[in-house]
Amino acid sequence: MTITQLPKYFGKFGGQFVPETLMPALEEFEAAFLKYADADEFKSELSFYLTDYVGRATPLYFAARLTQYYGKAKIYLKREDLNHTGAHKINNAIAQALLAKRIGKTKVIAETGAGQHGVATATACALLGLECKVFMGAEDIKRQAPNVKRMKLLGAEVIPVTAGTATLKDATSEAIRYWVTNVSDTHYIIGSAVGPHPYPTIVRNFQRIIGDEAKAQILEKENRLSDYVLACVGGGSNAIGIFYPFVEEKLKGKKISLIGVEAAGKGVDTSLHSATMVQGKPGVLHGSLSYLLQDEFGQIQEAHSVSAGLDYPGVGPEHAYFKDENLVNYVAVTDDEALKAFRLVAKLEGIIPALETAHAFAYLETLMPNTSPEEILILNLSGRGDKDLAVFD
Amino acid sequence: MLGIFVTAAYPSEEACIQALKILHEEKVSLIELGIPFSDPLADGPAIQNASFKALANGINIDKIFDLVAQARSEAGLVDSCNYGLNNIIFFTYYNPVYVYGIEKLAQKSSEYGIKGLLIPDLPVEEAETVSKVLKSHGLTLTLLVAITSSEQRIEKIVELSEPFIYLVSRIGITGSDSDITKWQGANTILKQKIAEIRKYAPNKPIGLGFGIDSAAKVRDTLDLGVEIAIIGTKAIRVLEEDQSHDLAVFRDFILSVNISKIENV
Repeated sequence: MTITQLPKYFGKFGGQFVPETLMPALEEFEAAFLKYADADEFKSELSFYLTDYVGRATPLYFAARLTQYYGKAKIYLKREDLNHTGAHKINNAIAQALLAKRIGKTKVIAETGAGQHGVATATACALLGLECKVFMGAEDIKRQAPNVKRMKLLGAEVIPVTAGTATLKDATSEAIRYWVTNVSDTHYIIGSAVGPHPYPTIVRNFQRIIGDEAKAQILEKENRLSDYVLACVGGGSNAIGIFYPFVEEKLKGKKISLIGVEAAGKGVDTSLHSATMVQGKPGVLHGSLSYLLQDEFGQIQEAHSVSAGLDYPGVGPEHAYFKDENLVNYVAVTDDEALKAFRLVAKLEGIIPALETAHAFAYLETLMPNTSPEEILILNLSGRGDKDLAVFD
Repeated sequence: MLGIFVTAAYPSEEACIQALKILHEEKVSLIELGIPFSDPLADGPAIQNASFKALANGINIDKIFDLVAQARSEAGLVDSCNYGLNNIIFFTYYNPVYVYGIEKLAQKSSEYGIKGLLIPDLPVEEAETVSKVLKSHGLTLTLLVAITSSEQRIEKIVELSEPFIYLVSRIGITGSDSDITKWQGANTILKQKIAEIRKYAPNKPIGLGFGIDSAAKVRDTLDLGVEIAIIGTKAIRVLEEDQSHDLAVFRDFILSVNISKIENV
């Protein structure tokens, strides 16, 4: 039987809360995904780019020194930082750009926080001959300057967004407004597992390659699945990508602890954090129902994180579902803890992780003492940190 | 007929009450009262800024009910009329409604004589439950048809939308389009959408909005055969710039665009 529609909801979360003007474009995108995602010609083209251009499969690396440092479970790192452009974002950006071309759209827009998704989209557009505009908060343009330069060099137009806190939330709102106005010839490549249906499902589908590879690699290296899988969570694309195949195993009865690490900023008991799952309540932002940081009247609150990629008051709706079903445990670490982990990983492993990823590393401080040397842990090293060096100026 | 959008508590609570009274006194058929939201995705800069300002003024849904009650009491309202302060619908994004609770909002709206809701980010797929709850309290949910809506979608939308259908005049967000030729160029497609709406809902009025900012465009709109011309951004801009103590400039603007009233006199 041919699937004609993807599920719109994850439990009660998800849905399509957008202006009517965009609904036909969402229907068109879903139809294109259903038509092409499993078609041989699409799969072989995508696989060609992921292998020869992006450099997949990324290694699953045994971090001996980090493991020795904690003296507990074996730590493996899924090296998404080794992808072309330096993060997992390229997996989804190339795939969506290939779909956009098949729909007949010649222009692409994207939102970006840390600039990783912006760079990935600008790269995919350069590669495939598409016109590219990237919406980025003015504040993020300042703190992620190297990525702004990269996007411009790749031929993208970077549009500064000054509304609100001038960060990822506002960039996303402005990208949606631009899309409402230019929907006829423009495809919106959402970079995280957020947005209206079918985006969260499609982004997860194009990112699950992280988890599919990691699962096969750990079986090959250790002859069994890991006991823990860790990833940082902003909107949640790298986390959904690595978690999803392990969630499938969990639902089959395997015992695996999945941990999503959010940004606690200055602390979850302050007003300056981005710990949506830990502190938020259900609500609708950017097209879907999920957990949100908001006040009692449903006004969205400003998020804060030292990491631009996690500085977002919402989270992907499938994560909200995973939280409510107790499939994933969501925790938060502060700016200071993340910065400490950033330095530690650089010194111990010779790897400078993205500040976003440093949040996942920081949670090892809490988690590792409770593990045992017989256990195995996989941490998704979602991106590299060259873009973040200014934080130490 | 004429519909006017104003953001609650913009530019201030007092000025908003005064504006509502003017809309009532000038017998504007429909008032769309905006409940501000922090992230208005369908709005251009003018209504975005009005929303931010109103929120900075400390407004919330509970206070908006008080504001409506205040305007009505100051206007010395007669219940028998069916325009102005007796024909208010809330215009708001879905999150404030969802978080307040649709049941509670419906109940309170009914208590305060609000006629219904229009939620620009609630497409027909997500609207059924909200519509049912509103209906059980005697309120309406108005849905939007866009230029991009297929006939198939229009059929579903117009069936659920009450008491009228809001047709978005062009592909875009709210705000005046100063290019009049662009506006006229859209007529063919607008006429087609109007015909598709009529096909499935011959007896429901159509309101056309987005980009209407003058008496001439109100005239154009009504000439298309729709029943209601809706002005949003321009009304907000006039309020923003009106320095007179009793909103005389705003009143003059309303007088100038309320052509159906002028013609009735």
